[in-house]
Amino acid sequence: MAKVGLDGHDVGARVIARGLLEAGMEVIYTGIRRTPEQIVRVAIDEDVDVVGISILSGAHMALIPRVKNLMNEAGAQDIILVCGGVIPQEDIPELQASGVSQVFLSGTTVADIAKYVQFAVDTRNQKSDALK
Amino acid sequence: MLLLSAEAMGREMPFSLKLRNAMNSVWRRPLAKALSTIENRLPGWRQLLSHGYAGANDAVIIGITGPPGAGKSSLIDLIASEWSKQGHRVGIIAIDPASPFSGGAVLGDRVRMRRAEDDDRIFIRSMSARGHAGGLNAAAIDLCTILKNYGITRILLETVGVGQNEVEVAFVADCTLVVSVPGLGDSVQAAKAGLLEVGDIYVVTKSDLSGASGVARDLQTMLAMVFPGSPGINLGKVDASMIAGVASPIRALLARRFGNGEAAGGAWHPPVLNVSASANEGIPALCHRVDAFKTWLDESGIGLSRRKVRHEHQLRALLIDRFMETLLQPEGPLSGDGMAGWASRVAAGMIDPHSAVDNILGKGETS
Repeated sequence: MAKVGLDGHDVGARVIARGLLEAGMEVIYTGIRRTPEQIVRVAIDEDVDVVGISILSGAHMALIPRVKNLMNEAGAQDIILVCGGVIPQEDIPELQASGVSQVFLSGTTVADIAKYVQFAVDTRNQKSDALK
Repeated sequence: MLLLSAEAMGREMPFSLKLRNAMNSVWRRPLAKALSTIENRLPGWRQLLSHGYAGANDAVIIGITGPPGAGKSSLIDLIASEWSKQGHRVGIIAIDPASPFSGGAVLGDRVRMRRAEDDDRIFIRSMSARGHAGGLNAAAIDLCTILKNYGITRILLETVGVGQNEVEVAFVADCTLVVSVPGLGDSVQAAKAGLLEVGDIYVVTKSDLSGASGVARDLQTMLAMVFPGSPGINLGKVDASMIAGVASPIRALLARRFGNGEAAGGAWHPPVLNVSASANEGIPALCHRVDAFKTWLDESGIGLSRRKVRHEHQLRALLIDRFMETLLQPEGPLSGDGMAGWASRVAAGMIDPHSAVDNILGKGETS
């Protein structure tokens, strides 16, 4: 669970981290105002399955694709990227084209996010098992 | 922040940074994957470990324990940065508690490790305790071994915020730092058993706050009643007048862990150090003490005997796990929900728990 850029509003990120805990997941919280480089490094060191970015600053189009590109450069194409926050609907297709697998808008329940995360990880693992 | 503004404007990342990322991924990603393999017991974990134990260097493992909010993570951040400056590659394993119900966890130690996070020589891994009591993760020793395989020469192992009896880290680490903080109760707390017997070095954090020197003094007084001599290494005939109250079997046990003045290397009397993370004070002195302690461990032979004790603990824990697995396997006496069945009989008062265990082990009911 990451906060990127100049955005100090982290109540949502912390609530979702707690909700995913209740769903039995191990959540690493990065704290606020991290750079895309820092987030990718955390994701790699911690060997995470999913990076979730909470962003309310409006800079999502600049910062989120950057995180995905850096993950690809680091050879971590397999890490699933999701994001949520104040994101206009018309930005969603472009975010998804840049490699974001899901965008959660306000009103999404934590249970739905947990369900999606589990589903996305299971699907990815089945695919990689099938390749073996 | 300069970097961030460049990102925000969508500029290309400087070439030097790209190169740095590439060099980092040479060891960081394989190490991260290896740690996951061990922690999650993924295919190949046993092989990885048997190579690991064979190839491990003699990196120093420093355990850091203390109450929640004492400043363990901030302290680790500074110690790791100091060692990185000295040229060490540093590994940090930070353990936070897991939910006893869902098994989930929120791991937030690295939020306090901002210096270490941006340092290319430092690797941080957050871990959940995963239901393991004692303040560590069951795989902690194995994980430290893997870190050593990747050229890491200093390992910092942060326990969950402990109460008064979670002292397991002392049997995993080479050097245990017990962190205290001003404002957590009076000098009676320092008189209680447990944490006062496992520390090799005591650290009082937040030394910029009032009361910190009082906490350090209370600790020193209490330590002086348990350990002979004065803080640090004591050689030759050590003044034991202060520890007259300690019975000789206890003294022998302590001597096995902390040495003997008349033997080679001498006896270690745990020192108390004041540090302040916010003012960045006392950290080089602390690192120096840890190095001195490590030298003492090697020269006195106590390091070797402690390592034996460590692996005895580890073997015992592994045997308990394996034994439980045998009981729980399909043809074992606790297969299916066998355990729940016995538990409900005990709860209903039909059998006492000790006789239930006898039955499970096939010994029949004995008195």
